[in-house]
Amino acid sequence: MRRSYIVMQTLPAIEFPLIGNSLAIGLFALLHILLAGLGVGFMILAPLAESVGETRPWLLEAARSMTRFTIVTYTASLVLAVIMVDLFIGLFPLTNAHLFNRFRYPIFVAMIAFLLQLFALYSYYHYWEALRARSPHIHRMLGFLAASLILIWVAVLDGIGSYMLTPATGDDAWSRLANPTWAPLVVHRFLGNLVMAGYVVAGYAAWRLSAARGEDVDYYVRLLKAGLLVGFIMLMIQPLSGLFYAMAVNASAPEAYRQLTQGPYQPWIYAQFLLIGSLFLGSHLWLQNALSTGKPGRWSAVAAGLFALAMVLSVGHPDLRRMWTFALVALSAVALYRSRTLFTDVSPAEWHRRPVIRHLSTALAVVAVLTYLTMGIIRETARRPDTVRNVISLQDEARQPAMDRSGAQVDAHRQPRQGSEKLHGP
Amino acid sequence: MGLEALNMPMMYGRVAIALAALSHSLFATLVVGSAVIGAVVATLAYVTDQPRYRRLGGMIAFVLVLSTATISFLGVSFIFTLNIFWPRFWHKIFRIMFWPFVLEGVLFLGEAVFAYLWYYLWVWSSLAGWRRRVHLAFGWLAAVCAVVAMFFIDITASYMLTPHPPDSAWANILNPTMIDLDLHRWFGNLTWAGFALAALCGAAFLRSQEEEERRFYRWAGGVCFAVGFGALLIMPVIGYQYLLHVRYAEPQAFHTLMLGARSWLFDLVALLYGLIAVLGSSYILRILRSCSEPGSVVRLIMPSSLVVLVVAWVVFAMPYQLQHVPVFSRLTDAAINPFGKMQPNKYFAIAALVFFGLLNWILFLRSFAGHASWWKTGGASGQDRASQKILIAIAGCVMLTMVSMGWVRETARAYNGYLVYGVMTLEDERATYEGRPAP
Repeated sequence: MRRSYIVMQTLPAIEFPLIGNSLAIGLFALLHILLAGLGVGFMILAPLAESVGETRPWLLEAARSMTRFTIVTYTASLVLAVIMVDLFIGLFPLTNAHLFNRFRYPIFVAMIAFLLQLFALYSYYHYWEALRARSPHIHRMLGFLAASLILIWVAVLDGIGSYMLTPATGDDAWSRLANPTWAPLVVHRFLGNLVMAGYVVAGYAAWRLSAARGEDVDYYVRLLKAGLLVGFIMLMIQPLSGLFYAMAVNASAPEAYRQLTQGPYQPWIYAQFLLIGSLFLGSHLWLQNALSTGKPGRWSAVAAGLFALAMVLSVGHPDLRRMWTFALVALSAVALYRSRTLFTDVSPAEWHRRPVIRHLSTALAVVAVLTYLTMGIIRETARRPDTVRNVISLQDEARQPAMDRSGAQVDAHRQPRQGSEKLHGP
Repeated sequence: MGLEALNMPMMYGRVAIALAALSHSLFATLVVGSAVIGAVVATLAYVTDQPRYRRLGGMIAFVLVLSTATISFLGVSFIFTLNIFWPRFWHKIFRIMFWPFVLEGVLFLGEAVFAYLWYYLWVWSSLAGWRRRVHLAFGWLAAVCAVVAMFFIDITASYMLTPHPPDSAWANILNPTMIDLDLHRWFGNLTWAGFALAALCGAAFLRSQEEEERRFYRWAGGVCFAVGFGALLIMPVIGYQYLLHVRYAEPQAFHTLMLGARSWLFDLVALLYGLIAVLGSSYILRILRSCSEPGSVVRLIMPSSLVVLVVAWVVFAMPYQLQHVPVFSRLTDAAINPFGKMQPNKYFAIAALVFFGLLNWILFLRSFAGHASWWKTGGASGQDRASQKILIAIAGCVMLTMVSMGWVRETARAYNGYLVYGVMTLEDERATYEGRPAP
């Protein structure tokens, strides 16, 4: 036994070949949140669509399709999360042990919520007809229940994620969960899920329109408009929730905030605002092209383009950037208001089957997805060179097969920050 | 900053992990078994173009999808439970078996993706020839991914019991019981999935109102039962080899299971195995009676075969070390039951179980042939329903057997205080619970 134990203690730290540890986890994390973000967005939208669908039957089909997507991608998303956690355990054992140790009770609650959600969601989809035949109200409630339960799961995971950036020093898991950036992150991600879900629905509808026939054309045109409307409205709210989130990060971890906005990771912020600007501009162009009357006019798209450009160029100057961002939001609200007939009138379907509309919708879906992923990257990058800010660094992880050490304590005596940066760099 | 102690008895953590592990393994094995059976049935559907095979394939695909969804949640639960209750063990084993764990995860992802494509593109696949071939490929890809994923997880499972020698990655992977465990699981999964699917068909039969539906479920239940029963008969041969390698690699663990304090668990497995063989044979007997002529040889052989099986079952399940059987030890002062001796009594018993079980199985397979096959005509209504109830009872027994077998393997280590045999002890994890440094 002793012989074996010695061998265990001398095991080297694992280094993921070619791409390194951080990127390996990052890739699986991004794949996971892509599916999970869409799934959560659809789980929220489906019962809402079903509720409205009592008077607009096409929305019932839309609700069912969104749920089908969630069901089909569900397991893949979950397994991607498992692989991500697998990599996390093997490559960042200190951080993994620390987080699971510190959040065990919230994790129990999240797991129970997730299990109940599983039953609710599968019953919601697989007994769609049977339950609706008995009581549409009960069926809808089941959908809302599944959405509520998944939000509990997301809220706990957001708590752990936000703790890694702004760790609270509370005595119990719940106070750590309620760290300074938790609530803003929950709201920001909630809206982000809906932005992505809306634009992806529009992109999907546009793609299907190219080959649709008969009644399907009407359905996909309606779906296209509804998806874009949801995505665009949520996009207009996002800068406000993003502002609260950024302020919370700035107040709790100013070093991290500076590192992002003015430091070595600034290109990511440029990329993010470029994508956000593209979403706004693209949506304006879509409205302009979709309206057969010509309203809201070319001036709106040109102004949106100029505002978006100004927003991107002023990334390094937060106050100026915010001014341009909210100007863009105000302009978008006006443009959307002027285009309101588009979403209420039955305009000719052929008008929306034009390549410009289809390609623009598809491009917006891709940009929305990229924006969502970029935001995830930025949040993770802000912590570097720590894995849990000011608690565990990348250097701590690389230094040791920690859990093999006698006592297996997460290291309290961290090396100076400079050492970490030298080792891993930006 | 240290890890916060859980401040609870270690037994709570052990129970939590046991529950998570057993529920996880129950569905994981069902996924692997039903993926393989489903792919074979889908191939038969493709080759024969018979609607009943296609329908059975669809049913298995649905079971596979639901099981895959369940196992993905249970997998997350299991990982989280290990992270919380046994962090030292978990991080240590993960560092040793990093690549098998990661590859297992990736292959399970493959299984999930292909299984979902297989099920949710069912209608799409019925349109054209090339689509049917692609669809069939999805079924097989799901099965291959599931089987290879199982191979990777078996590396860790077998390593934990027989981790010799510890200084080489390849030696750890191909440890003394790796191949035996993998083979044992192959057939164990086919047994469990076959009987579980047969039980689902039995339940569907009992709910069916139309004769056409009942005919299909009668046939489908029989087919799945044949798979499960056939695989069951191979299990003792592989199990013998498996135990033989445990004996050579970790004699202490072997002794604990066969003659020591946990020998009653092995007797429990033997009891359940024999019960499955007897129940399965009684199902066959009912089927064959309903379709054979009154004076036929089958009617003569089957009752005799069943009697032999019952006797063999009793002998096989008899405990040898009476003082280790929890309740029995209070009823008698005798330490040893000579009839429960392995050599030669139980060897004869297991040989009889396998031989006569095989005979019954062959007779059952033969009964599928012919125009007036039993599944088309059915028996008397009451008898027909009772047969389906037997299928459900068998699945219940198999489920208990699977859980018991998992318990047997784990307890072989845990009873002697090990998490990884000779490498890491339960005591090493005590610091997680009491907040003191690990020894």
